Amino acid sequence: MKWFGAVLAILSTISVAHYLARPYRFRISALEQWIRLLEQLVPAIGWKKLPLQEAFSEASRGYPLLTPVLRKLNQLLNSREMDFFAAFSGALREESWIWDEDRRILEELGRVLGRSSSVYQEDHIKGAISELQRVLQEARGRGLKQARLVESLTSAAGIALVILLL
Amino acid sequence: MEPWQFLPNPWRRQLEGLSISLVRSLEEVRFRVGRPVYLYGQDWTKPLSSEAVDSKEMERVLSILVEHSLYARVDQLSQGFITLPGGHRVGIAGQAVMDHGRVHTVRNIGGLNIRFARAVIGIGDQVLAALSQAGCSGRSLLIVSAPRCGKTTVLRDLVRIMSNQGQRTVIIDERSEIAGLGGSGIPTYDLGLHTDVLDGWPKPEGLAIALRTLGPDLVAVDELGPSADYRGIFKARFSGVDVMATVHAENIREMMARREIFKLMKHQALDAVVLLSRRNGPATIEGVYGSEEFPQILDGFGNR
Repeated sequence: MKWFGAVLAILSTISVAHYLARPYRFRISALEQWIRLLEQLVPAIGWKKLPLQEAFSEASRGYPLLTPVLRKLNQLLNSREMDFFAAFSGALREESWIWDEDRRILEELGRVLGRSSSVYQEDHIKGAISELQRVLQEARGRGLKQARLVESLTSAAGIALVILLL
Repeated sequence: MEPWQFLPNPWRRQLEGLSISLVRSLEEVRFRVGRPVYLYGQDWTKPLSSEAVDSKEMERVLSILVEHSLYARVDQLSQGFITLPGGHRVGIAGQAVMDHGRVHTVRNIGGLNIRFARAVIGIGDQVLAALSQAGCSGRSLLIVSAPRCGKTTVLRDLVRIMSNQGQRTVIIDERSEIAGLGGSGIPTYDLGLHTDVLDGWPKPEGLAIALRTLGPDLVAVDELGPSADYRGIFKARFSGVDVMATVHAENIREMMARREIFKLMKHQALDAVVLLSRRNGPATIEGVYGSEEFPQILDGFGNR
């Protein structure tokens, strides 16, 4: 019974460790999906000249992490009450998991989207993509290290607790 | 689809609250910076509300009307208008931004004029009856009137009638007003069973493509403008295709001031000219001039 309790305690701390490290890993996946989505926006805007709402909806297929944000954006734009920046930042604010730095880059893009000819739109999107790639690299380096550290420390704390109790 | 569905609140709500009788005769909604929004009917004018529109609100309204996507409307903006789904035209008053001697876009928007497009089923029959009364059998028509006299409405209904009679018809809808496609690819109006729409195509290119690829019996174009439009009409007419077109002019004298129309008539490229006014409401037929009357008209205006 004692050993069963010990295994249970260790498994629980490992789960907690994974849970605590999740935002770091989640950020990487989300950034990768944002970059891919923005890359698909370039032809939707530059070549097809689709309106923003349609362009986002066409480009967003297959990015499950971004679905709640894009659904909210769609809903806000359908209400025909606010400009794109207000709707886009409103949709981003709905999701608490978005990191402040990532949100800032996306909001800056939202401020200029739709407000100029497609040539300038492409420039803005490409600028945002390179900014997101920079933070993605940081997230993969420092962020992953932090995730592993959090995981190891939490798991180690669990094991230590079990040893002490035994 | 009414144009105010594309407006933000409070304007949408206020317009939706209008009485049915007022909506029936409503022709335009005009936004002007520093002034209240006004409604214009056939023979009436009425403020929508007492509050004036500021430039920030004007920007918000325009942004929502263009679906937050100015890049998708640059071509239309450079011509001073945008078209909403349903074929409702929004005229834009503002400062022209020039680029290499051409209007690139418009800024400092000072006014928006939303024109309510309507389909009037049966109005084309009246024109056809007047044509038959005047002994005109051909289908190549030039519909002439001042703005807001129902040219596009008549053209749309004539297309529907001809198409339902089995004529393979192509509409070159440069401003998206005849079919009211509005991005969906599905016409808002009944255009008949045998109609194809070239939406957003400039008239000369659209006419060339229609002749080359769509094999029409009849092509319809709205608001002839530059000489290239008339050259396209000539090419279509002398390729065995009938053409229905509209042009702005209040009377025959104004119409004949255009050298290109003079040429069209001289070469019998038209079967008839139909003159409209709004004397007894939009699309009042003021006159039908068959091709046999053209020499007389041409002589009257100094046959060149």
